[in-house]
Amino acid sequence: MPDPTKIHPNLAERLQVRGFGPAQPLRVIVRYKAGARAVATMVEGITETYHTYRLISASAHSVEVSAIGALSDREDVEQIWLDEPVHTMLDASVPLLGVPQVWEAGFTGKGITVAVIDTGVDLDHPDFAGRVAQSKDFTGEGYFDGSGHGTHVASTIGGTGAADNGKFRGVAPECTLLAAKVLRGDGSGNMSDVMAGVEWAVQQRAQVLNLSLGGGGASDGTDALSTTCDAAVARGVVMCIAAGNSGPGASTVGSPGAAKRVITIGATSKADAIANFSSRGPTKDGRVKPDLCFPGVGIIAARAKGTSMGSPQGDFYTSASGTSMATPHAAGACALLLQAKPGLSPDQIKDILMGTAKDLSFEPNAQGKGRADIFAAYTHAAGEAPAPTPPPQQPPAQGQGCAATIGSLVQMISKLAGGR
Amino acid sequence: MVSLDDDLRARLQQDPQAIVNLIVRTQQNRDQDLESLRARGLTIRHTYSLISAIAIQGPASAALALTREPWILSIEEDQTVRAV
Repeated sequence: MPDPTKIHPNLAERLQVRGFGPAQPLRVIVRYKAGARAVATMVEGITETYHTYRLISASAHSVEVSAIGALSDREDVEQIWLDEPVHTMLDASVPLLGVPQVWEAGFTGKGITVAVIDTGVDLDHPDFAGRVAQSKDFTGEGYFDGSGHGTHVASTIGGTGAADNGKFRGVAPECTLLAAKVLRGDGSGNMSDVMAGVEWAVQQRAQVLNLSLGGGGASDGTDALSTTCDAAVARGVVMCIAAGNSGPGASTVGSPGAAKRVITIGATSKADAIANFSSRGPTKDGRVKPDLCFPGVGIIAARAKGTSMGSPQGDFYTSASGTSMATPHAAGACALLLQAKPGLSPDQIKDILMGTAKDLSFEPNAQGKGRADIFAAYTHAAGEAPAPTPPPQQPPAQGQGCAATIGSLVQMISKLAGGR
Repeated sequence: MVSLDDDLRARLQQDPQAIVNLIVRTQQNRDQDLESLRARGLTIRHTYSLISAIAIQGPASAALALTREPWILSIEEDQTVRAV
């Protein structure tokens, strides 16, 4: 008989709310009674074992829901927890990058126009009220964000966080936004429409463009879309492009991330690890990409009305991962730098961001120059003496944190304590 | 000599009646070039100014015939891109 006293409330709640079928996989952490060894693998329905811990007697597994009862019935099992995903919220990633210090210096992106070339932006979301100056559909589907992807991206660039008292504020919360819808509600589109959206944004005098999109397969950066992006840079526009989510294999940066003059962005976790999914260089013609990284794992930002992209966190926000989520941090950073130093060229901005990035000691084709430090970039751009990176303003609260599950956090704590 | 990827050429040849989306890079986008494309039964989806290029849609056979045009530099597939 299943013993409900051994099933932690977080797991019990999940089982009730989600209505899982018996074969549904679920990640759990099993804690054993004193003196017992990790034996959960002996139970039928355990499909995978991720970690065995020593600091506490426990192990992390993927299990079929039907196996949880049998696990709880074992004498040697003390407790079964849900292995909850933990997230990096904008209120964690933004301070990590040193953005609040730039705000305190008076720069919030005001007067700078950033274009979101994506699935559209929910114009009615409280975080953008009145700040999307223009929007246009290039897909033929009609203007609305049927995916939620573009709204999430725009929120990281310049959302005010108004729907939750400013908690999920983007990097440049006073910038002006443009929205070119070039991807349909299913998140796909054609290169030709993306090129048209880029041209439109340049014609509307956008100073920074964000492209959290890409094609499959390695590129040498000479295709029409990559060439268009480089041409926009030649016109003085800063282009921030996602590296793609085809990692960790080598040579997985496609178009337009492989374009030569754009800023190509990889994704890191809050713990400054390179995201496994983040596409790696070199490009098809042997150049190093990405150029640098920004946080892109478990980012909580605006949720478009009626969409369910990512893991919704209430009506107005959702959690999502990808180089798509890292790239808008870069676009927001460029808006701050341009407000602080209006004469900076796209090449100068790229050099400053790369030159002030924190070297994470990963391969150049994984990290580029490392993880961006926006305050250091601002300090450099402002011509001041480089300052040490200030610590994040606040420690992650419960439910926030790195790009890992609680299970791997426990493993990390075990390692720090000399376990394993 | 028009640049055309071997794989794309093979696919165009395999099904000449298929309707395809392509991006044509040109020396410059002249009115007469657009007329030439339309005359071949191709639809102009976009013309660009940041680079000299035209997005077209039409039968694969008509697209293949463009490889003989001296004002065309390259023909490439209008690839699918996705949110990442």
